[in-house]
Amino acid sequence: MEVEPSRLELKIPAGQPAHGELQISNRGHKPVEVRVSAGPYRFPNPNAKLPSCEGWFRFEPDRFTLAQGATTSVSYTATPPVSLDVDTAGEYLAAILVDQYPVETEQPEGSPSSQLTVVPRMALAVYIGIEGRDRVETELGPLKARKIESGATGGKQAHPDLLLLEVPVKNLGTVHVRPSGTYALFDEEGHLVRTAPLGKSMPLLPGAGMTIPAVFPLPPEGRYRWVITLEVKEGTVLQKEAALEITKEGAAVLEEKK
Amino acid sequence: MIRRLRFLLPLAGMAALWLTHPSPALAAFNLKVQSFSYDTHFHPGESITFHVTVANNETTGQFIEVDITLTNLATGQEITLTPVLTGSTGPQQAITLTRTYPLPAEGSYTVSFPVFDGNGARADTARGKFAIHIGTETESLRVFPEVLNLGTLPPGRSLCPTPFEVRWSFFQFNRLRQDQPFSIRIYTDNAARYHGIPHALRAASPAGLVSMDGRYVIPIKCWMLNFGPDIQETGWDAALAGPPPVDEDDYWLGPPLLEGGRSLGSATWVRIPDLVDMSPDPVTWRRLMGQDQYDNRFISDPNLTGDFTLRSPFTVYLATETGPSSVEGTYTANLVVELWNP
Repeated sequence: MEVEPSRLELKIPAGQPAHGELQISNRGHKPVEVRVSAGPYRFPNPNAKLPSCEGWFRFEPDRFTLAQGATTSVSYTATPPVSLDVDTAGEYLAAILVDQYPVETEQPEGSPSSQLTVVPRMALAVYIGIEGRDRVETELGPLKARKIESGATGGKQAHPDLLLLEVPVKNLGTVHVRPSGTYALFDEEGHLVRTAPLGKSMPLLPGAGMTIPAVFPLPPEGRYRWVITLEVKEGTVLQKEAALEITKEGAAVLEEKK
Repeated sequence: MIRRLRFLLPLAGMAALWLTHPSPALAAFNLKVQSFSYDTHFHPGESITFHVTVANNETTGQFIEVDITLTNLATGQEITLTPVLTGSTGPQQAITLTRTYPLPAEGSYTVSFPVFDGNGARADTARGKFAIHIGTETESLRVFPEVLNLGTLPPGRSLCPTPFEVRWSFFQFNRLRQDQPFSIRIYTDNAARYHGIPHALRAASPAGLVSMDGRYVIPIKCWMLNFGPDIQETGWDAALAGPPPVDEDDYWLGPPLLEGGRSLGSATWVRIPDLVDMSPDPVTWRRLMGQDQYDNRFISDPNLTGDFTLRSPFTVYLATETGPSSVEGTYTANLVVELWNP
């Protein structure tokens, strides 16, 4: 079974319903029964408040048989409740569950015996932002740097010493963001020593924080400039700079620039 | 005299051979790959750019050649990208070589960067930590068989006679051309059917097989290759021998601890939770497999990148345990195998 799209990220005016379609395909070799429903959001972010839009969804059809090789459309309507006008949340979350059941369940002859039905389920993440309340505000926390000594990763093999750079990000806004960007390390003369992508494709939910790590071989003794550029939403860029010193002993000393 | 010459003939032959084929064992110059970078996820028809920085640690200038080599993970076929990267650098200096290449056919490829000096001797080789993946976006899930008839459950621990197979495909990447995280979780969805025993002091979890009247439950455990055990610790080669025996407490309950009791979190046969037992915290989930390069939970000595994926299809085995308090009846459950991508 395949479902398109793989997630919904919608923005609607308060009080207005959202409409759309899911394309569901049966790539198997026999017909299946498909059941579509809404469920709670399933992403791990224990500290984040998750206002739910699980009860907003209606699907048409929500239960049907899909022949082998066939593709069908399921239309959905997400109707926000009237109470949304007095609510202040900028974003509501849920999951659309597309379950696949066997069409014919073989009943054993004679006395009934115990039976397990294995149900493949595609869970689509749903993010519904409310226009006018969607505020993007992200904060970069204090940068951290430390050396990971050879073997300190718990391995039995000999590893080179590594430098671990950590960029804490906190979402102070009302909608989720997917921070991504780059880090660049320059030497004292301004030559680029190292650059690499930095980021995570996981969503950062409102009120939640994450630490984005970057690990690479410990550079030789010297002074460096470390520049972080993070795009939290299209057009919203954060940048931070720190002076990094690798001492003769290999310790990493970091001083952030205001 | 002729007899003496006969002894000299082999030596003369060896001398002639040395003159015509001088020894290839020239030591390579001290050239080291300092760093390299490349993106890892592509659609067919796109191009890929490599940056390789090579340091010349010699006291003289050197010619440098880097032959970027891709090895197809499925077929083992090696491809050297042409034209190869070349350049010259002064003594004690580094040079960054950059070139863009058209991508090979769809598939997964490991990357290595052998470095050669001006004499063609191999001076160094660096290997990429992550493979290159070329493919079209896909996300699908299928199981076989869909219905498992468990028959009459015997007393004690019992391995279900029929395992089921999970076929999956997932290929999605983000703007950084890194894998989109996903996980395949397993749980039962019995909350609507399970009522428990009226007026019971403690509500039991609905995880497992539920009796037709919704009052009783028989827990289910599962095993698949990702759950071990570690062959170095136990000697049980799960890849060859399959699921470890359910009768052995070390695998069913967990290995014994020196201070007494058992390390329940290290058991190889693991409990399948119900949806209502699961919270947003992933420690409450049962993940069959998944990928998230920033999740360090699965990093170990033989798995430095924390790769928790398995090739499709993989097989899941189930087992039950009934005891003196188990109640006779017919038990059923919906066992959900969920693909979740946030």
